Parts: sequence; structure tokens; C-alpha cells
Amino acid sequence: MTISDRIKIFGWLLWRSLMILRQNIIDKLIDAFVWSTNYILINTYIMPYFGLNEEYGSFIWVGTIVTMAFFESIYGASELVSDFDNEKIIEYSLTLPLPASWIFIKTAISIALDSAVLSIFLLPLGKVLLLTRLDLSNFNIFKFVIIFVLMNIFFGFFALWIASWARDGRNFSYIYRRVVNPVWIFGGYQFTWFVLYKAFPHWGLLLLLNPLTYAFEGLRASILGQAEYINFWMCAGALVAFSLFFAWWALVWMKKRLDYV
Amino acid sequence: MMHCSQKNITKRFAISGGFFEALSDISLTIFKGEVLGLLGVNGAGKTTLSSIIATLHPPTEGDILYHNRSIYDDVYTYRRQLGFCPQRPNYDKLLTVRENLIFAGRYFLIPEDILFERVEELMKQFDLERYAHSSAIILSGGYKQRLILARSLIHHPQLLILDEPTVALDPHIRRQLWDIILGLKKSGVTIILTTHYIDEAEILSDRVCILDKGRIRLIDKPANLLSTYNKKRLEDVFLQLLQD
Repeated sequence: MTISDRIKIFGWLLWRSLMILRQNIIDKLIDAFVWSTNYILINTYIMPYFGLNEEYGSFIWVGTIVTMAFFESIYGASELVSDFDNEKIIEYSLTLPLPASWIFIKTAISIALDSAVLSIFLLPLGKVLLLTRLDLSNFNIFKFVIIFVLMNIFFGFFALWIASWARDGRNFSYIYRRVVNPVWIFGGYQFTWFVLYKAFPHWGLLLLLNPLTYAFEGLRASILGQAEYINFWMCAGALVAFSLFFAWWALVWMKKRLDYV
Repeated sequence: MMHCSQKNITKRFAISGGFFEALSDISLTIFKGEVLGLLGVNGAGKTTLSSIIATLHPPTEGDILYHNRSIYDDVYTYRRQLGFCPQRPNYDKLLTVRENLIFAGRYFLIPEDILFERVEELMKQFDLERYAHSSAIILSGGYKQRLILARSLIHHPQLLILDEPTVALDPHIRRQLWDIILGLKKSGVTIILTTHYIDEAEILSDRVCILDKGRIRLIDKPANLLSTYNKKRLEDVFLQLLQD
């Protein structure tokens, strides 16, 4: 088997994932529309009457893009756990002429593609919902593409890691409540890292260990401007490092869990 | 001619407080073109052994030789010679029957023009044509088995592993699958057939290997077993072995 043969098989596996995504895309987009519209509309048009800054809507909109991608990837992890427990489609992939590590990297990239397709949809949607309240004068397309790709790849590997961990569906629900939700809410969906750091420095330092901090801060820096957020390149670097770390960890645990050749 | 042989295969699984030995020192040779029936009660180690030969799981100890070479020296070349039909139909339910077969062929790098012909041929052989463009989720039990059997044959494997292919199927569908397996045997495919239906093993197998608690109790041709144990049916031999 040459490396180009392996790349071809890898490509066909990815193509298959896209075909499967195509089957669900309309339902997924409707879900994304309903879910994100609620958050954006309430934070933009209602919360200012409770004393929140007028710009909070656009701040939350960027956070909603990250959130949509993150939870879509966690849904991918739940599907993987369900597959381990039921149909075991993964076992077919593990008997193909391709190293198991490639199969799992492909799985993470498939999850990343799913989350990217859904979350990119929120970009034009936000503009429509926020109208003149959205200031895109600091939008940097180059930085946006970089952080968007890195963020989704990280989510793919994080989802793989969660799936390698969860023993079954019930255990997955524990992990969801005890790990996934805290990681998301303390990642900075509703606040910036600098504001938190000024108020609670130790807490702020601790949250530098949370990979979602870099996804939220990096995406906001690319869309809303660098001023109030962690340095963009630091966010990008951290997401690369976390992706490598979780990919390695997920592969070690998958090997333990699925006992493949 | 020797096709595939297992040398001292042992498989242990970690359980709380120690290990469970699912297979103990299994040595077995499979000859080219034969159907070897793997028999045993639930938990005997049939599926564990077939999944190790299918390279789904590694053995804890031992080796598998294919054409006198360890499969672990080049597992990907070995997998290209191998067809594996698992116990549970694990195809893509959101793809059509045709797409399932096309992707299976692509994973084995079959050129597209040959692949499309092969897909049509298999759909005809397995009576899947009427479902070709239907989502595979609608298939009934027998057609699910047909699909994964067809998928496992897409690349003309020399060694085919069938793990309980007829479990929970209606009798007439079982018979149809038997005809398909006998047809494959005629075409020279080496088959490892895991089953707990004794009649199935007796009809389809050239030799049967009876596993019990992870060990080989005996391995021989069905006719030899009947005469050795002076029984009329293989099921009676099997029951006597269990009593012993």
C-alpha cells in the first residue's frame, strides 16, 4: 500500500461522510436557525432593557457561532458512542486497508466538517438578525478563516476524545453535564477573558487551560477586532496545541477501548 | 494447499480483578477453497477468533500466517485479500444500497469502470436490484445480510469470514443464503463460517471445528465425526461432546 493509496481511501471515507451530511443538512440548518436565532434576538433586542450594553448582541452572535460548532461536534461524539454500542459501523472501517489512526483522524475531520458547515451558516444569519447593530469594520477575513478552521478541527478531536472516554450512552450523559457543559460555559460564551481576569485573576489564569477560551477569544478577535480579546495568534497556536494533545489522547484511549490492530 | 493458519492464538480481556481468557492457545490451519465451520455454544470464542482473523482485534499471544507470512508484517495487503461479514449488519443506513456497495469498492481501490459493473453484478446475484436506489435503512433482516455479504465480496476476496450470517433469519432466507455460500465455495473462495446452527455447519462445511471455552475440542470432516461418534446427525455429536 503506497501513501497515495492510503490518501485515496481516506478521501473516499471523507466523501462518504459528506454524502451522509447531505442527507441531514436541511434538518440541521433548521435546527441551527431556530436555536441561534433565539439566543441572538433575545441578547440583541431584549437584554439591553435589562441594562446590558447594546453591543452585547453582536458579542453573543460570535459566541453563538462557536457554541453551534462545539455542540454539533459533541453531537458527533454522541453518535460515535451510540455506534460503538449498537451498529458498530466503525468496525467495518477498522477492517479496511488503512491504519486505524487514519480512520480516527478521518472521523474527527468528518465531525469538524459537520460543525463547520452548520456554524458558517450563522455568519450571514447574524448579519440579517443584527442589522445596523453589527459593526463589521474590524472583520479580518484572513484571520477568520484561520481560526474558524482551527476551531472546528479542535472540536473534531475533542469530540473524538469524549467518545473514547464515554463507556456508553448513560456515561456520555454524565460527561456531557460534568465536563462538556462547564467547559463551554466557562470558555467565555457570555464574557471576555480580560474582564474575568480583572475581576478574578486566579480564575482567569485557570481558564487559560480551557481550550474553548481560545476559540471564543480568537473568533471574536477576527470578527470584532483584537482590542478586548486575547492575542489572535496566541489563540490560533493554543488551538493547534490542544488539537494535537487531544488527538494523541483520543487515539491512546480509542486503542484501549476498541482494541484494534 | 494451506491458505491461512493460526499459531497458538490466545486472547485475554481485562475484567475487574484480573483477566478473562476468551481463547487459549488456538492452532488451526485453513486450506484453500474449503469451508471451515466454527461451532460452539455462546461464549465459546467463535466470534473472538473470527474477529482476530479479520484483523479487527489483535491476539494477546500468537500469530496468523497467510501464505506462510505473518499477517501483521503487512496487515493492509492481507486486508485486501479478506472479506469480513460481521454478525451485525454494519452498513451505512443513510446511503442507498448501491452507494454502500460503490463506497466499499472504492475503499479497495477498484477502478470506477470495473467497480460499477461489479456493483451491478452483485446486486443481481444477491437480488438487491429493486432496492438499489432505496435508502438501506428500509431493508428487512434477510436483505441486510445480503447487502453486507455482497459488500464483503466487492473486491473478490480470497478469504471470506462469515460471522453468524444466518442468525435470526427466517428458514427460507437461511436456505437462500446457504445457496449463495455454496456458490461462493464452488467459485474457490475460502470461507470461515461461524455459526451455532449445527445443520448449517453440517451442510456447508468441509470441516468443522468445535470450540469450547476458548479451546478447540475437535476438528474434522462432518462425515468422519459422524462415524467416529456413531451418530446420524452432527447435532448429536455436538451434544455428546457438551455432555463429555
